[in-house]
Amino acid sequence: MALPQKHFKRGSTKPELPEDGVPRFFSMAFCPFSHRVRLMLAAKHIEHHKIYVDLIEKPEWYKDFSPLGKVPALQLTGVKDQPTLVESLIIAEYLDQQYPQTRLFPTDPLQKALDKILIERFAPVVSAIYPVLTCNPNAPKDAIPNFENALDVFEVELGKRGTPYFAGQHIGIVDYMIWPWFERFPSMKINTEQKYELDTKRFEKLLKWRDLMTQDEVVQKTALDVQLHAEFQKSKTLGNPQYDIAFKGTP
Amino acid sequence: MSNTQHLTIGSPKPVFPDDGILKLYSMRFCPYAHRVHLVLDAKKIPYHAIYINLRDKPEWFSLVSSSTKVPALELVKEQGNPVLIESLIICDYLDEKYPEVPLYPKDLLKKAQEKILIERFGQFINAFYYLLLHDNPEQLVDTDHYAGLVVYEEELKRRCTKFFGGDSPGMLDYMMWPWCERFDSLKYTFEQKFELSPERFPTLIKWRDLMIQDRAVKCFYLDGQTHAKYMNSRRSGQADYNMLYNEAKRVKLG
Repeated sequence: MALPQKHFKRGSTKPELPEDGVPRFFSMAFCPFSHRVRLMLAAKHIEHHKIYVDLIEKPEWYKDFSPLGKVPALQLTGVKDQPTLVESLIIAEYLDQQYPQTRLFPTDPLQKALDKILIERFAPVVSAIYPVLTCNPNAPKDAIPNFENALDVFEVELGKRGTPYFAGQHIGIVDYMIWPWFERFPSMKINTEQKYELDTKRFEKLLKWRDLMTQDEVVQKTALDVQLHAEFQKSKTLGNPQYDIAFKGTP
Repeated sequence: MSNTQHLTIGSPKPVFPDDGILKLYSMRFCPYAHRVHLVLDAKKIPYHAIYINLRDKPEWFSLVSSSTKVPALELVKEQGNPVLIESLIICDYLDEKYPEVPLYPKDLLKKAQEKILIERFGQFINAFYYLLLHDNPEQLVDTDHYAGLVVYEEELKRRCTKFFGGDSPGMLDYMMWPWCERFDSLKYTFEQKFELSPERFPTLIKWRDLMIQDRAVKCFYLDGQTHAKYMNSRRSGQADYNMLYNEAKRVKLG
């Protein structure tokens, strides 16, 4: 049974959700944090219902599932009391442990901690580029230089690890947790005056990694086209984010 | 207690015997570093504490930890002496690496829910600092500073246990505690008494009194007056990291 492919808004009727014990995944299609969980669910082949939420005009009933109104939210309907988990990294770690086939986190406590620190270090990358990525006309002049400086950490780290993926020879948790933003970065080539893209020399290893990532089955399964990302970001600047752009071209 | 002199510009890097004991770079009044002290003490893991003047850091500190933040935990037994940062990541690491005295629930779902509550406590932390560092706290009379605590009052009541961890403190208790310890400093800092209402937070008040009796909490405990004194020095722009060290020196000389 397919739930509507649209973002529920304020005033919308609470949808009839099947009571089949299958987890319910509440997200916003363009939210990179929701994308992290989407990647985990796909990597682990976990069946789930998809419910999309308009973040600007949240449906009143959404508080029943996510008390603080956050996405991503994963409701475990097969568990007593049907608890809901929020926070993308906490959900990712839970799913990795609960469904241990194809482990994505390292099992060694030290390597796991180092990977978590690296994921944490991606936050300054995101905050630096956020105004440019979202087509903010008042983006600070140093947004891109700051972004590039923060991103250097990952170019260096990939070189230091000396492997095609951050996780090694195979894709792992760092790769999936930072991937959503790399899917979105190319939208700046479309949306910025200078047609910004990553410098091929400065970020040589990262761009190679990016190309590898696009070949991954899980990445492909959860992908949204760069054109859609660009259109969505543009729609935000016009005042009314058009979340349902994500479903253009789907039957 | 330990030497709480805070190393600064010009301080030589401390030399330790090659004893395989963890090194924790900290600041005596930092609540995030406090979290790590609590976990290490709860698990009885030996460690060297090295206190850093955060305003004028020693030159060598950036070589120890590229983030130059505290807490930073140097794992001297591991190859290359890696340094972990971020209090929650360090505490998770310690709970996995040293599973005796486990602080997280064993059940994976309960563990995830515990982490969500820890993450959510950030709401109260923000409100606490907003109040503490505000220029005119009198203007905040109508603000509900305690809204972020309501969920914990209800959660602990629902669990019907002394601590969030059960009969003894767990990770959630220790991750919340540093700010709850500092809460007592408010009545020494401001004219109006910012205190927890016994009608609104009876369970948390009981919890707080029990936490003060905990061995690990006692290891690093400072009373509200001491916290207030430090916080006042910080507000004035001259954070007095060495106030305990200087006090101890004064007592010795006197």
